[in-house]
Amino acid sequence: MSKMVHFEDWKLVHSYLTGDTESGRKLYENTYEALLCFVRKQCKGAAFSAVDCEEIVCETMVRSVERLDSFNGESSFYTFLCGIAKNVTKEFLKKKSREIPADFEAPAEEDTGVDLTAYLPEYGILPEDYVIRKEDIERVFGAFKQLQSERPEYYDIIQLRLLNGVSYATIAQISGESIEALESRYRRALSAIKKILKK
Amino acid sequence: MLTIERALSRYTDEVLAGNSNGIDGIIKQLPVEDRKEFLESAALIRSLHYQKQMSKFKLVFEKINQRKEELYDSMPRAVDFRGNGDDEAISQIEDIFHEEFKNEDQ
Repeated sequence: MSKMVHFEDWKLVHSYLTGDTESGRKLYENTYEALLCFVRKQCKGAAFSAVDCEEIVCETMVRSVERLDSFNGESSFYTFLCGIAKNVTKEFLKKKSREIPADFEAPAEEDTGVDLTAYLPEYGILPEDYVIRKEDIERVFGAFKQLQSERPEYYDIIQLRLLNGVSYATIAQISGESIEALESRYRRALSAIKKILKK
Repeated sequence: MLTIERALSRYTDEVLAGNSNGIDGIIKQLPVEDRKEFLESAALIRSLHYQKQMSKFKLVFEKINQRKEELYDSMPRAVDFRGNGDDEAISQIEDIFHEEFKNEDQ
Protein backbone atom coordinates (compact mmCIF):
# COMPACT_ATOMS: atom_id res chain seq x y z
CA MET A 1 0.00 0.00 0.00
CA SER A 2 1.29 3.46 -0.87
CA LYS A 3 2.36 5.75 1.92
CA MET A 4 2.20 9.53 2.02
CA VAL A 5 5.49 10.73 3.49
CA HIS A 6 5.49 14.31 2.23
CA PHE A 7 2.34 15.53 3.86
CA GLU A 8 3.41 19.21 3.90
CA ASP A 9 3.91 19.23 0.13
CA TRP A 10 0.66 17.38 -0.42
CA LYS A 11 -1.18 19.87 1.81
CA LEU A 12 0.22 22.80 -0.19
CA VAL A 13 -0.82 21.18 -3.47
CA HIS A 14 -4.29 20.49 -2.11
CA SER A 15 -4.67 24.07 -0.79
CA TYR A 16 -3.48 25.49 -4.07
CA LEU A 17 -5.93 23.42 -6.09
CA THR A 18 -8.76 24.45 -3.84
CA GLY A 19 -8.08 28.13 -4.41
CA ASP A 20 -5.28 29.25 -2.08
CA THR A 21 -2.82 30.97 -4.42
CA GLU A 22 -0.38 31.69 -1.58
CA SER A 23 0.08 27.96 -1.00
CA GLY A 24 0.93 27.56 -4.67
CA ARG A 25 3.44 30.36 -4.50
CA LYS A 26 5.08 28.79 -1.45
CA LEU A 27 5.07 25.33 -3.04
CA TYR A 28 6.85 26.43 -6.20
CA GLU A 29 9.07 29.07 -4.57
CA ASN A 30 10.46 26.46 -2.16
CA THR A 31 11.71 24.38 -5.07
CA TYR A 32 12.68 27.01 -7.65
CA GLU A 33 16.37 27.41 -6.74
CA ALA A 34 16.90 23.71 -6.14
CA LEU A 35 15.24 22.79 -9.42
CA LEU A 36 17.42 25.29 -11.23
CA CYS A 37 20.49 23.62 -9.69
CA PHE A 38 19.16 20.22 -10.73
CA VAL A 39 18.58 21.34 -14.31
CA ARG A 40 22.01 22.96 -14.54
CA LYS A 41 23.52 19.72 -13.30
CA GLN A 42 21.57 17.73 -15.88
CA CYS A 43 22.53 20.11 -18.67
CA LYS A 44 26.22 20.09 -17.83
CA GLY A 45 28.14 19.41 -20.99
CA ALA A 46 25.23 20.27 -23.27
CA ALA A 47 26.33 23.88 -23.72
CA PHE A 48 23.08 25.25 -22.39
CA SER A 49 23.04 28.87 -21.34
CA ALA A 50 21.72 30.12 -18.01
CA VAL A 51 18.68 31.43 -19.89
CA ASP A 52 18.05 27.97 -21.38
CA CYS A 53 18.12 26.42 -17.91
CA GLU A 54 15.68 29.03 -16.60
CA GLU A 55 13.42 28.33 -19.55
CA ILE A 56 13.50 24.59 -18.79
CA VAL A 57 12.59 25.26 -15.17
CA CYS A 58 9.74 27.55 -16.22
CA GLU A 59 8.38 24.99 -18.69
CA THR A 60 8.73 22.22 -16.09
CA MET A 61 6.79 24.16 -13.50
CA VAL A 62 4.04 25.20 -15.88
CA ARG A 63 3.74 21.65 -17.19
CA SER A 64 3.61 20.24 -13.67
CA VAL A 65 0.30 22.03 -13.13
CA GLU A 66 -1.38 19.51 -15.45
CA ARG A 67 -0.35 16.72 -13.09
CA LEU A 68 -0.93 18.44 -9.78
CA ASP A 69 -4.10 16.50 -9.11
CA SER A 70 -2.11 13.26 -9.34
CA PHE A 71 0.48 14.34 -6.76
CA ASN A 72 -0.06 12.04 -3.80
CA GLY A 73 2.78 12.96 -1.44
CA GLU A 74 4.62 9.65 -1.84
CA SER A 75 7.64 11.59 -3.06
CA SER A 76 8.58 15.19 -2.34
CA PHE A 77 7.24 17.88 -4.66
CA TYR A 78 10.85 18.58 -5.67
CA THR A 79 11.31 14.97 -6.82
CA PHE A 80 7.97 15.17 -8.62
CA LEU A 81 9.25 18.22 -10.51
CA CYS A 82 12.62 16.60 -11.26
CA GLY A 83 10.81 13.78 -13.06
CA ILE A 84 9.11 16.29 -15.34
CA ALA A 85 12.29 18.35 -15.72
CA LYS A 86 14.14 15.33 -17.16
CA ASN A 87 11.64 15.05 -19.99
CA VAL A 88 11.55 18.78 -20.64
CA THR A 89 15.36 18.83 -20.77
CA LYS A 90 15.41 15.96 -23.27
CA GLU A 91 12.92 17.81 -25.45
CA PHE A 92 15.07 20.94 -25.28
CA LEU A 93 18.12 18.94 -26.29
CA LYS A 94 16.27 17.47 -29.25
CA LYS A 95 14.90 20.85 -30.24
CA LYS A 96 18.36 22.32 -30.21
CA SER A 97 19.67 19.37 -32.22
CA ARG A 98 22.26 18.55 -29.65
CA GLU A 99 23.16 15.12 -28.43
CA ILE A 100 22.03 14.03 -25.04
CA PRO A 101 25.16 13.97 -22.89
CA ALA A 102 26.42 10.52 -22.05
CA ASP A 103 26.10 11.23 -18.34
CA PHE A 104 22.45 12.26 -18.67
CA GLU A 105 20.69 10.06 -16.20
CA ALA A 106 17.51 10.02 -14.27
CA PRO A 107 17.99 10.61 -10.54
CA ALA A 108 18.46 7.29 -8.81
CA GLU A 109 15.61 5.92 -6.75
CA GLU A 110 17.48 6.70 -3.56
CA ASP A 111 17.30 10.38 -4.50
CA THR A 112 13.60 10.29 -3.77
CA GLY A 113 12.80 12.64 -0.97
CA VAL A 114 16.27 14.18 -0.97
CA ASP A 115 16.69 17.18 1.27
CA LEU A 116 16.72 20.36 -0.80
CA THR A 117 19.81 21.56 1.00
CA ALA A 118 21.71 18.66 -0.54
CA TYR A 119 21.70 20.68 -3.70
CA LEU A 120 22.57 23.90 -1.89
CA PRO A 121 25.15 22.80 0.62
CA GLU A 122 26.67 26.24 0.92
CA TYR A 123 23.68 27.15 3.04
CA GLY A 124 24.58 24.35 5.35
CA ILE A 125 28.27 24.86 5.90
CA LEU A 126 28.26 28.51 6.89
CA PRO A 127 28.30 29.35 10.57
CA GLU A 128 24.85 30.37 11.82
CA ASP A 129 25.82 34.04 12.18
CA TYR A 130 26.74 34.45 8.56
CA VAL A 131 23.64 32.94 7.04
CA ILE A 132 21.20 35.68 6.15
CA ARG A 133 17.66 34.62 6.83
CA LYS A 134 15.09 34.72 4.09
CA GLU A 135 13.23 37.57 5.78
CA ASP A 136 16.42 39.67 5.73
CA ILE A 137 16.90 39.33 1.99
CA GLU A 138 14.61 42.22 1.19
CA ARG A 139 16.47 44.37 3.71
CA VAL A 140 19.74 43.57 1.91
CA PHE A 141 18.16 44.45 -1.40
CA GLY A 142 16.89 47.71 0.09
CA ALA A 143 20.41 48.57 1.24
CA PHE A 144 21.71 47.78 -2.23
CA LYS A 145 19.13 50.08 -3.82
CA GLN A 146 20.20 52.82 -1.42
CA LEU A 147 23.62 52.69 -3.06
CA GLN A 148 22.08 53.90 -6.30
CA SER A 149 21.81 57.44 -4.97
CA GLU A 150 24.61 57.36 -2.38
CA ARG A 151 27.37 55.51 -4.25
CA PRO A 152 26.30 54.91 -7.87
CA GLU A 153 29.70 53.42 -8.78
CA TYR A 154 29.15 50.71 -6.15
CA TYR A 155 25.58 50.14 -7.30
CA ASP A 156 26.71 49.77 -10.91
CA ILE A 157 29.42 47.20 -10.24
CA ILE A 158 27.04 44.95 -8.27
CA GLN A 159 24.30 45.41 -10.83
CA LEU A 160 26.60 44.53 -13.73
CA ARG A 161 28.67 41.77 -12.19
CA LEU A 162 26.27 39.97 -9.86
CA LEU A 163 22.78 40.76 -11.06
CA ASN A 164 23.38 40.93 -14.80
CA GLY A 165 26.22 38.41 -14.80
CA VAL A 166 28.55 40.50 -16.96
CA SER A 167 32.16 39.31 -16.72
CA TYR A 168 34.90 41.54 -15.32
CA ALA A 169 36.71 41.23 -18.64
CA THR A 170 33.75 42.75 -20.47
CA ILE A 171 33.25 45.50 -17.89
CA ALA A 172 36.97 46.28 -18.06
CA GLN A 173 36.79 46.48 -21.83
CA ILE A 174 33.86 48.91 -21.69
CA SER A 175 35.07 51.07 -18.82
CA GLY A 176 38.79 50.99 -19.62
CA GLU A 177 39.60 50.02 -16.03
CA SER A 178 41.68 47.09 -14.90
CA ILE A 179 40.07 43.90 -13.62
CA GLU A 180 41.88 44.38 -10.28
CA ALA A 181 40.32 47.83 -9.88
CA LEU A 182 36.87 46.41 -10.60
CA GLU A 183 37.34 43.53 -8.15
CA SER A 184 38.42 45.98 -5.50
CA ARG A 185 35.37 48.17 -6.11
CA TYR A 186 33.13 45.12 -5.89
CA ARG A 187 34.57 44.31 -2.48
CA ARG A 188 34.10 47.90 -1.29
CA ALA A 189 30.55 47.92 -2.64
CA LEU A 190 29.69 44.84 -0.57
CA SER A 191 31.27 46.47 2.50
CA ALA A 192 29.14 49.57 1.87
CA ILE A 193 25.99 47.42 1.97
CA LYS A 194 27.14 45.94 5.27
CA LYS A 195 27.61 49.43 6.68
CA ILE A 196 24.10 50.47 5.64
CA LEU A 197 22.68 47.33 7.23
CA LYS A 198 24.50 48.00 10.50
CA LYS A 199 23.16 51.58 10.78
CA MET B 1 46.71 32.13 -1.02
CA LEU B 2 43.88 34.13 -2.51
CA THR B 3 43.23 37.80 -2.02
CA ILE B 4 39.77 38.56 -0.70
CA GLU B 5 38.95 40.49 -3.90
CA ARG B 6 39.76 37.46 -6.02
CA ALA B 7 37.94 35.15 -3.61
CA LEU B 8 34.76 37.25 -3.88
CA SER B 9 35.13 37.29 -7.62
CA ARG B 10 35.45 33.51 -7.75
CA TYR B 11 32.56 32.99 -5.38
CA THR B 12 30.38 35.25 -7.52
CA ASP B 13 31.26 33.12 -10.55
CA GLU B 14 30.27 30.01 -8.60
CA VAL B 15 26.95 31.48 -7.50
CA LEU B 16 26.13 32.67 -11.01
CA ALA B 17 26.99 29.24 -12.41
CA GLY B 18 24.82 27.55 -9.77
CA ASN B 19 27.73 25.56 -8.38
CA SER B 20 26.77 24.58 -4.93
CA ASN B 21 30.13 23.46 -3.62
CA GLY B 22 32.00 26.64 -4.32
CA ILE B 23 32.52 28.28 -0.97
CA ASP B 24 34.35 25.54 0.87
CA GLY B 25 37.33 25.39 -1.45
CA ILE B 26 37.61 29.16 -1.60
CA ILE B 27 37.65 29.67 2.18
CA LYS B 28 40.53 27.25 2.56
CA GLN B 29 42.65 29.38 0.26
CA LEU B 30 42.01 32.60 2.17
CA PRO B 31 44.17 33.99 4.98
CA VAL B 32 42.42 33.41 8.30
CA GLU B 33 42.07 37.15 8.98
CA ASP B 34 40.04 37.62 5.77
CA ARG B 35 37.61 34.79 6.34
CA LYS B 36 35.11 36.72 8.45
CA GLU B 37 34.76 39.48 5.88
CA PHE B 38 34.54 36.92 3.11
CA LEU B 39 31.75 34.98 4.81
CA GLU B 40 29.77 38.15 5.49
CA SER B 41 30.18 39.30 1.89
CA ALA B 42 29.35 35.84 0.55
CA ALA B 43 26.05 35.95 2.45
CA LEU B 44 25.27 39.30 0.80
CA ILE B 45 26.14 37.90 -2.62
CA ARG B 46 23.77 34.99 -2.07
CA SER B 47 21.03 37.28 -0.79
CA LEU B 48 21.23 39.63 -3.75
CA HIS B 49 21.39 36.71 -6.17
CA TYR B 50 18.43 35.05 -4.46
CA GLN B 51 16.42 38.27 -4.67
CA LYS B 52 17.16 38.45 -8.39
CA GLN B 53 16.11 34.83 -8.82
CA MET B 54 12.90 35.48 -6.94
CA SER B 55 12.00 38.38 -9.17
CA LYS B 56 12.33 35.92 -12.07
CA PHE B 57 10.28 33.43 -10.11
CA LYS B 58 7.43 35.95 -9.83
CA LEU B 59 7.11 35.91 -13.62
CA VAL B 60 7.27 32.12 -13.67
CA PHE B 61 4.57 31.88 -11.03
CA GLU B 62 2.28 34.15 -13.04
CA LYS B 63 2.48 31.59 -15.85
CA ILE B 64 1.95 28.70 -13.43
CA ASN B 65 -1.08 30.35 -11.93
CA GLN B 66 -2.51 31.22 -15.32
CA ARG B 67 -2.22 27.57 -16.36
CA LYS B 68 -3.75 26.44 -13.09
CA GLU B 69 -6.72 28.73 -13.63
CA GLU B 70 -7.17 27.44 -17.19
CA LEU B 71 -7.10 23.85 -16.05
CA TYR B 72 -8.85 23.82 -12.73
CA ASP B 73 -10.74 27.01 -12.04
CA SER B 74 -12.97 26.67 -15.09
CA MET B 75 -14.25 23.31 -13.91
CA PRO B 76 -17.64 23.32 -12.18
CA ARG B 77 -17.20 22.91 -8.46
CA ALA B 78 -19.17 20.45 -6.39
CA VAL B 79 -18.73 22.53 -3.25
CA ASP B 80 -21.61 24.97 -2.63
CA PHE B 81 -22.98 24.48 -6.12
CA ARG B 82 -26.43 25.54 -4.87
CA GLY B 83 -25.02 28.73 -3.38
CA ASN B 84 -23.35 29.58 -6.67
CA GLY B 85 -26.76 29.64 -8.33
CA ASP B 86 -25.76 27.29 -11.11
CA ASP B 87 -29.30 26.29 -12.17
CA GLU B 88 -28.14 23.86 -14.81
CA ALA B 89 -25.91 21.99 -12.36
CA ILE B 90 -28.68 21.93 -9.74
CA SER B 91 -31.14 20.58 -12.26
CA GLN B 92 -28.68 17.87 -13.38
CA ILE B 93 -28.02 16.84 -9.79
CA GLU B 94 -31.74 16.73 -9.04
CA ASP B 95 -32.32 14.51 -12.09
CA ILE B 96 -29.57 12.13 -11.06
CA PHE B 97 -30.90 12.04 -7.52
CA HIS B 98 -34.43 11.27 -8.62
CA GLU B 99 -33.25 8.65 -11.05
CA GLU B 100 -31.15 7.00 -8.37
CA PHE B 101 -33.67 7.19 -5.55
CA LYS B 102 -36.98 7.23 -7.38
CA ASN B 103 -38.22 4.19 -5.47
CA GLU B 104 -37.78 6.00 -2.16
CA ASP B 105 -40.02 8.88 -3.33
CA GLN B 106 -42.94 6.54 -3.76
